[in-house]
Amino acid sequence: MASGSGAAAAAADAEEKESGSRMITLTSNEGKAFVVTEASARQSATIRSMVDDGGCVDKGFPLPNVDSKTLARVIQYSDEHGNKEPHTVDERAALAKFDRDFIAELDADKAFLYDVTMAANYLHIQGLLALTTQCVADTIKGKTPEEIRTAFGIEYDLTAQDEKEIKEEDTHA
Amino acid sequence: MAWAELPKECLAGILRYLPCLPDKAMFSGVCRRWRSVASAHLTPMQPWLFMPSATAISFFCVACERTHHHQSPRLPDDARGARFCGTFLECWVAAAEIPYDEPLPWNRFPALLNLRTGERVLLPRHLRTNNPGSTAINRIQTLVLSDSPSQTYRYWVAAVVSGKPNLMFWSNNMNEWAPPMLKWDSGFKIWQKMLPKDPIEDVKYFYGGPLGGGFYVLNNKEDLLVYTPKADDEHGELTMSSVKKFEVRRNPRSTMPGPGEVLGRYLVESQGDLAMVVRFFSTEKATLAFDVFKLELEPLSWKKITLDAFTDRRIFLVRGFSMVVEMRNPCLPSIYFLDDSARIDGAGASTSQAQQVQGPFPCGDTGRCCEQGIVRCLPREPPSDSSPWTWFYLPQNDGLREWYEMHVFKQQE
Repeated sequence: MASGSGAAAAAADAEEKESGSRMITLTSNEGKAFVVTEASARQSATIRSMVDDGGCVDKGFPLPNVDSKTLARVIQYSDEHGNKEPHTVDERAALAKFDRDFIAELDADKAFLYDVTMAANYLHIQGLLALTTQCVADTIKGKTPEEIRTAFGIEYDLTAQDEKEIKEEDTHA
Repeated sequence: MAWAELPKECLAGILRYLPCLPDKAMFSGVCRRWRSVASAHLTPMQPWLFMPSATAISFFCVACERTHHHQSPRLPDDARGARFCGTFLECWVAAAEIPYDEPLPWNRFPALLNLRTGERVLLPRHLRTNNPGSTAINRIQTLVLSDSPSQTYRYWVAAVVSGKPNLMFWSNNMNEWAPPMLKWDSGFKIWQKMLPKDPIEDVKYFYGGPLGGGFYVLNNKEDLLVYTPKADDEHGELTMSSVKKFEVRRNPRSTMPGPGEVLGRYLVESQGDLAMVVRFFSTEKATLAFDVFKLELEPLSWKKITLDAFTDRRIFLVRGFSMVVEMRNPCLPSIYFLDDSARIDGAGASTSQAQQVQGPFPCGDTGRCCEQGIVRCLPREPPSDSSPWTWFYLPQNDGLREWYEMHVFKQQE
């Protein structure tokens, strides 16, 4: 601590530790309960603000938009990032490796990647969202729109009118 | 799976990881929703490195560190092998001379070319000297534009030229270059006094510069001359409403020797401030380091600043149109530079104004300078037979993206 009273800082630390050791229950839309540490749950800005607003920590948090399979995977990420704080170079490298392996698995299953992206967005887990959106971006790089549509199972819905617009914009620009 | 319906903020997040224009263009061609999100999240465009040669041209994308072979703008056939001596926003480049009409040796003119729209503006080859009449101009070293060429408003072009006079101006619809004159019929002896006396390091137009609007000329003593063209000249005339010289010294004065010999100095503008970037080279003629100075007005001086002042910004150096790109995403400040070793004369000293006009043009001393030092992240070969390399500034708006989309549709047809 660079400034402030040492005793107050220690008290704040103790409080932090105590709140960090609380357990929080997250419930998937299928009614399955997952018990996680508060530190892990706080990876989600959505849950963090509910906890800080004195929300119902004891009753747990129902997550109507997240299914069990997705929630389990999201918790795997937030446990890794929330429960350990990397201090050494090795620890940071280990965490980076975890991220790489984590996203490589998701990359192979685009439907699941979509679910995890949606959950990360809903729960506001910035690190996880950055990981999944970058993964999508890496898939897009160097591909034509047709190839991108195939990769993500997107239907072509640009109308002849859209195409005409694009061409007109171009000639007028 | 409903990737098309991904929330807007997620799609915007994906776009942040697609810094390269062709990728953004492909993204927006996927479906209507992605297209609308891409239009709403335009990001600053980093320039491409324009590598012209007599046989082929190529563009290297700084953002994705790739060379774009198939998706590049086309160079008009008659501009192949031209020496490019200027660049400007919105895909404009300046050629020292291109053939006109009949490709006869004397039928060659300097020209401004838009590589996106195909527009071109031919510039004259003669200077009105009032001595009397006019004379053919010497080799153009650099062309500097005040604005994108247009038929609807007045813009000016400054030319840095070998020999004397070393600086001249042109405005649209003029059929000759004009020396800097306060009165249209100023005699030779009068306008000569308006010329920069010391070798010119850089020229850049500042619309609302700290010392007034106009062409800022930086000399090798680090002084500034500001040439302000008169906005309401008679048709076909070009005079200056003012020519001001500002002696600018470093404050505090440099007591430490620089990290090497000065190779060149460049003017840049960032968030309303004017800055001078000083480039140092080693005895091996490789760029070593850069110093950045901000122009202070009270007292008028160059104040050394660290690269940290450019956090989240990237500086692209080229004589006549260096630019600072605001990245809007966190990024470490960097200075991107091109080979400028032609400034070094045979004796190994920097001569500032000297610009090579004949090939081969060396291009090995390119790269990026950041906190870690010099990173060789740009192409460095082969030397160009026809032209030095320059930056190619993409439009900051939708324009080029639409243009790419058209390429895509063409491929599909």
